[in-house]
Amino acid sequence: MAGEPHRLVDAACPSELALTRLVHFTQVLRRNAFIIGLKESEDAARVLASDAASRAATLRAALKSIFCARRSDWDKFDDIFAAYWLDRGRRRIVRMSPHPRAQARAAAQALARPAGWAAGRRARSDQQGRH
Amino acid sequence: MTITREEISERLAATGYVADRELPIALQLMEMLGRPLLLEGEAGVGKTEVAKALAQLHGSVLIRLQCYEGLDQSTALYEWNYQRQLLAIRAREVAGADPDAVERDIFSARFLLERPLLAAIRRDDRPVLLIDEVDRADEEFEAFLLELLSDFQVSIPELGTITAKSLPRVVLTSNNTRELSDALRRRCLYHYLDYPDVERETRIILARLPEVGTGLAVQIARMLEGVRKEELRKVPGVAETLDWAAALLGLGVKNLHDNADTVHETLRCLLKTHEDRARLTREVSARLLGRVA
Repeated sequence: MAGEPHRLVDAACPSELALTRLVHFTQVLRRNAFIIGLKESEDAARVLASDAASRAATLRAALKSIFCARRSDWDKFDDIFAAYWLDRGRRRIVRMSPHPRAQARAAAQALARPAGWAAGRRARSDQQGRH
Repeated sequence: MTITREEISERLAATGYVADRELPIALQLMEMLGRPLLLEGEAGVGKTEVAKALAQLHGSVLIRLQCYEGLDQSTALYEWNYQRQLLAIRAREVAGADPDAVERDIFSARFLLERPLLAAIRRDDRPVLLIDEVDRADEEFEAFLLELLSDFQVSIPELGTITAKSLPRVVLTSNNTRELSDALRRRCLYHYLDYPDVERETRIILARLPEVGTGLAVQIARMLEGVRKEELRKVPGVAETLDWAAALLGLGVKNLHDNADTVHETLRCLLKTHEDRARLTREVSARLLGRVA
């Protein structure tokens, strides 16, 4: 994963969103049989507030060292990290907090729709449901 | 953070230890979070070397506790120097000393024999404490260790509680001969050391034996990569690689392809069991050599 350009977290000030994502990440790890307590989460939060969080590769290695406790954890950590923080994770961010431009675009589209569009659509779907 | 990852990488390289990409980050976290580091990996991948390099890196003393089955607290922590205590008692009896004063004296710090764990917490400078092959120790000792690593203090009934003057940097190694408790694992940061890949093993050979030269070092590393993929009972580690490289150097080998017989004969020296030696036939050596560019 060397040379990854991603900057996942603002190291100077890990946002509430970054911390929320970290909490979700620990839940994902627990579902994958990692044993993670409060101490590990606390240490991971400290890492988020450090320079290590500025690059994906270093954040991954740091969290790996904190959250893994045995070989089986070690072997699967990279895949889980990549899936959560580099792919699936980004989509989750969009759902949790849309980018301002995306919000503006959605608002513009809503305004551009003819009046009664939503009501008509609901009516059509009701009819389809009855058939 | 007092020391950056880049500084750690540079200083590790200066000590002759060629780390994988993730190890400097684990060492940096040790500093940042003040937690011990648990290193796991097959025998011969260089776990003990990490502790030695860490001590060199910080310019501190390395204190090593080698664990084994039956290791108890007195061997690991402290013992009273009984012979010296007996001599002191005899000497004071002759002098007619007060028995209470004698008792107070013989249970003072000067009659205490420090073992590695006590030595580590009584030092003023932060030593590196290597608890080697912790999986060989009993579960009772592991529980005691867990307590020590939590508080960094020990109670000696005759002297009271001794608290660490400075927190040692603790490295634990395990070959996984016994499953360690979750509690101990969770107390530590974790790093799994694997056999080095060709690129890293080449750098290790060149760091330790620069006379070998890049070309031969790459060939040796590639041969070892092939050997490790064979079904062997005892897979050769980094120390064996270095021994083989030194042997080839001593025999004046410059290119493995020009010395197939020597390669076969010396390669067998890497193997530790009769079964493995029997498996590495001349044909197998030739096949492995054929894959080396």
